Amino acid sequence: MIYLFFIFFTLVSTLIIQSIFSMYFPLFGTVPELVLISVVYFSLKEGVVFGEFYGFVAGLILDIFSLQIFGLRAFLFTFIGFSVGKYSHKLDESKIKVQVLINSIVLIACILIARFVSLIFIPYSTALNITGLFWTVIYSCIIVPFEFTILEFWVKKIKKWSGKANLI
Amino acid sequence: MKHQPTIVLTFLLGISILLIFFDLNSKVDALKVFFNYLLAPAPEIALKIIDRQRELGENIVSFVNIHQENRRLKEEINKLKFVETQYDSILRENANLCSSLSLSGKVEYKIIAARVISRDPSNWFRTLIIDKGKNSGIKPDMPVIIYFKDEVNLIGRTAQVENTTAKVLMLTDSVSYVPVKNLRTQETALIKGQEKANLVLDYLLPDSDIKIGDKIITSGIGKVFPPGIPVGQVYEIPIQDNIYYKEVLIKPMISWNKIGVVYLLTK
Repeated sequence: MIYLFFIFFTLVSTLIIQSIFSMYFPLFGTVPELVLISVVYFSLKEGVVFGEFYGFVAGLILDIFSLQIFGLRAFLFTFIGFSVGKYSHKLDESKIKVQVLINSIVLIACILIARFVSLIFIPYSTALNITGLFWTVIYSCIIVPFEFTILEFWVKKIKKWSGKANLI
Repeated sequence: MKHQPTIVLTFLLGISILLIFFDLNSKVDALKVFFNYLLAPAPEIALKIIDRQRELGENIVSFVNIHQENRRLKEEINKLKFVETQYDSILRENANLCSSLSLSGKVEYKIIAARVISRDPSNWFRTLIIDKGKNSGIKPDMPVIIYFKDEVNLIGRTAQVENTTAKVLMLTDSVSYVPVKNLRTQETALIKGQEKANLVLDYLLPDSDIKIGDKIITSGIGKVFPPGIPVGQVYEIPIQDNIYYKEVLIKPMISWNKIGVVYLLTK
């Protein structure tokens, strides 16, 4: 339970850091998808079910803070948690190549599907910005190894703390 | 157990789809308000920390700037102290020389500000009327100057003084003559108006050393105008046949159309 609380805290912190990036460090108007990266990380690290739940909660929180179709991100992130989690035993998430590749595929798929669904629900929404997509992927790929390293370090710590707390 | 991930996936995707398709506006809004309320303080705190860091950065930059400026100003003060010492010594030397040569000393002037209330309706370049007269201590033949873009320039002298108003004879009036000199060469001459924006520098010798851009100031001859008041700059030296005197065109450093407040020099 304490571990889950720490995970929720991690998710909220990631969301805050992403909003800070959007305010202070945008690259050509794009922001790295830190929350999505964390979904990929936890799916690879903790498996399918954890990834699904984490993705659902993360997507739901992002939906709350965005003006997009409510529930769309929850849907996408849950599916990402499931898909990536299925390969968690086959992939070595400590390799930067794997991290970057998985995140790039997931990010492109996520943006394209979200765009497609948006066009169904909001027909007058503008066309897909290819340059924006390109820079979002690039920016996220630059951040991925750092975020994975930080999360790796942090998860080790919180596992240690929650283990000690459970003993008490 | 083997199908657990798929069941969870179906369950969560089902909830997501319900959220997407059902019109849950009021409930979703309530949820948004609730979560915003729960999570809003956290971003605020984070942003405050960032703002603090930014402020700290700005403070450090401004501190460095102030330090550099302080150092520069100290250097400037030291330079000015040296100039002041030199000035004092020159002033004393000048006073000693004047007294030993029995020359009259310089007269100190006070300044009275006045507002232009009217101008000669028939000719823009002749006279202007100010809102100060005898009651304010204005007398005929008082020099009138103007400050324009950090420059001082002579514009004329008082001519006709009433109780509450006075007429100023402008430099541009054709009857106006002012004794002047070239600041660079100290050559003296007379400046006269021609009812145009530019003035004419007259009575210069044909071989006088005058260049475009030379500053012309009052010479102090005649005692109406104190020496050293800027009048204008040489802007054209026309080719002339006159073998006795040379005429040069002078451009004042002010705009004759922008005279609002003038200053009168009184002894």
